[in-house]
Amino acid sequence: MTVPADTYFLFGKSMDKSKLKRALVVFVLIVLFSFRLWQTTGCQKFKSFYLNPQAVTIKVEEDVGTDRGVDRNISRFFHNKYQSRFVLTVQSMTSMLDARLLTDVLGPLGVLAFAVSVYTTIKTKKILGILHFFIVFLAVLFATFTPYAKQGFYLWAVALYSFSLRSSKTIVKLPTWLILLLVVATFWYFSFSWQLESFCHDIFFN
Amino acid sequence: MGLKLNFKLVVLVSIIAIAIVLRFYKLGTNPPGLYWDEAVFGYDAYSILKTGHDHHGRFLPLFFESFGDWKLPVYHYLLVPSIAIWGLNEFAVRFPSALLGTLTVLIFYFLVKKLTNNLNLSLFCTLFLAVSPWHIQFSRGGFESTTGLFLVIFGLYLFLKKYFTFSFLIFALSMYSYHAYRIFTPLLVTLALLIYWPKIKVKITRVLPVLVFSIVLLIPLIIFTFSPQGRARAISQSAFKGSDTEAKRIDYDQKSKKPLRFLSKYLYHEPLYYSYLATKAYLDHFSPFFLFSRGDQIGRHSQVDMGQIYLFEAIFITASFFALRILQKDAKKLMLAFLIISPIPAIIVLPTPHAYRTLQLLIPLAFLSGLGAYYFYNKSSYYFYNKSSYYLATVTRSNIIKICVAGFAIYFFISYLHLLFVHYPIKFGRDWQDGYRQLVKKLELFQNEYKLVYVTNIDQVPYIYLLFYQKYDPLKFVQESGTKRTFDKYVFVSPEEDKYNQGRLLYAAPSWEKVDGKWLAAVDDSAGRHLFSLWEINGQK
Repeated sequence: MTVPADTYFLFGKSMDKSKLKRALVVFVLIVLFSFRLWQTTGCQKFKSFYLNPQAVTIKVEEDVGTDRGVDRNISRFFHNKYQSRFVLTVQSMTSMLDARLLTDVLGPLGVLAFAVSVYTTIKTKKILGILHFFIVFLAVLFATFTPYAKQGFYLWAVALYSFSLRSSKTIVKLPTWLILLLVVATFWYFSFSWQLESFCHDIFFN
Repeated sequence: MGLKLNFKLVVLVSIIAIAIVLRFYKLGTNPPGLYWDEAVFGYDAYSILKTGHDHHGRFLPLFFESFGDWKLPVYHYLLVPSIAIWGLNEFAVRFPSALLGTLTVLIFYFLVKKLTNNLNLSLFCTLFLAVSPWHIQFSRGGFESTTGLFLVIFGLYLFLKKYFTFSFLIFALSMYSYHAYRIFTPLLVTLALLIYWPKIKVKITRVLPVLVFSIVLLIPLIIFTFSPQGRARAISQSAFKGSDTEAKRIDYDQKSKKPLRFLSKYLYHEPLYYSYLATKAYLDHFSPFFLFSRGDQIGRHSQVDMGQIYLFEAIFITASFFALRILQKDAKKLMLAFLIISPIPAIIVLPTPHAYRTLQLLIPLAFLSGLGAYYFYNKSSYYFYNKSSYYLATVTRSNIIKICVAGFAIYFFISYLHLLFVHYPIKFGRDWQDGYRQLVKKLELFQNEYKLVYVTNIDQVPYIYLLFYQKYDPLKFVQESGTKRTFDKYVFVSPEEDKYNQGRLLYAAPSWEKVDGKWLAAVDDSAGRHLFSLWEINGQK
């Protein structure tokens, strides 16, 4: 049997060059993400994204108190518990989509992979992609509404990682040197930001 | 066609009218007070107007000495005619900024029109800039960055119109307006030259001499940039300090996991560590938290309770990435390049994210918001304009979403106005040194009875407010060798300094200081907070 020039064997299974490259990209991404998760095992206290319901009441009272000489109905139009809950929830959720936080969790290659996944999901509108994106959204919501910071973080991180892997098909189309550069940059970034400042308050390894 | 064009003209005029109102309404009193940078800009311009010298006695300086740093000259000289017309007051100091902020909106319309050749899209983008909280914030204060942004946008428009002579001169002038543009403008010009190279190449004989002439004009600025005065600010606020690197390396050693601890000696080499810091600082400016949620935490730079731009713009900016394909290649490249290089001037200094040093970032953001909104609403316009009678029957689910987003946007815009005109003057008076106008007015009531007036220096440079609000003769100030420590009968002291062995004097003390003397009056800021007390001290001599 003649094997085409572009065919390679991995674990005894034949595959063409692009598939092999894709498998390698997925493997490298998993290794990088696992390395990051391993680093987080030193975190003693995760940053909480929890939205305390009392914060809503306090915000409304503070804002209404600032409205000196403003009609009460007008003041209530701008400052009410619905508006404040919405604003504070969005604040909490956007703080989880912070570019620096995402880079700290995903690394440069992961951020690119995540962005590509979002783009292709919206572009192709495939039901599986949308469901997967919805899981990320649910993980963000969970972290916002749970006081358990550690669980919230891990659920969110794993959701991000798995969603980012969806982009592997597009990532392999990048030039190999660029992928390698991004892998090195990601390892460099993960090594540097060992203190996990953006999502860990206290890190210590025995 | 004519009717449509007229309608678009009406829309444009309305947008500019909104921009004017949002930038000029209550300009003298909101922001409350006058920040010390504004006060020194104003007094130096007043001094130039009266004597031709700044308040340090330098004749028509090219660089102005400020508090711990040196300022570039454009805003000072723009203030001279403003102060000549309006007098030395808060409105006059902020007038050029508000005016150029409004003109930026107009020029931005022509810029987008030139880039996209699409009137509707240009109007959408202009609207987003006109109501941008980020741009309004800096247009309403005596900030040099607004001037720099106007010059950059104007220069870019002239560049696209192929008026290269004026374009490069204006770009050069922008670099004399604010420190951040010393970095941003050359980057933008280089990228613009690269993007439009095929078109410029054929006119290289025209472009090159002007470019060279502009660079010659920049020689004083280049010399200044590398002088101790020019580097003062960058050094004092630098993000890159050798001592920090070593502290971080030790911290890394102590806290990181054993198998990888050896990495610290390789990672914490200065260039590598600094590149990490720069990456972090750069990314901070694209944080959704900064852009849509909380903004710059310095009260002078934002409303703090909301993002630098509106929350609903997140929807349009996301949509814009799908709409980029409708743009011409060069326009797309130029705006994306603008977006990518905008935060660069802020990455070498602390703190980050910094809305003032990255004001130019709002231009691509307004463009993307406008593009996204245009893309988002383009299809529904068919129902709104052409089939109004048929409208109810054809409302689709997507149209309901569009209406909801519009309602959401209007609510957030009105809420912003509420924050700007009701909350801001009450909450952020201290960020603008509110209270000094009231202090000077109160001092004027009592000071004639005293030979010596002591004023607390808890806010570092109160002397500038006494000069500014009393319109103190600049020539006299220079002749009597006035300093920030003392001039005329004023002495500026810390609470610890002795006031009881100087004879009879008037003392303006911070409200919390216990003074052994006769209480005369209280000084409150615009929001009614008690800031200072006036005391008579009858001490020994």
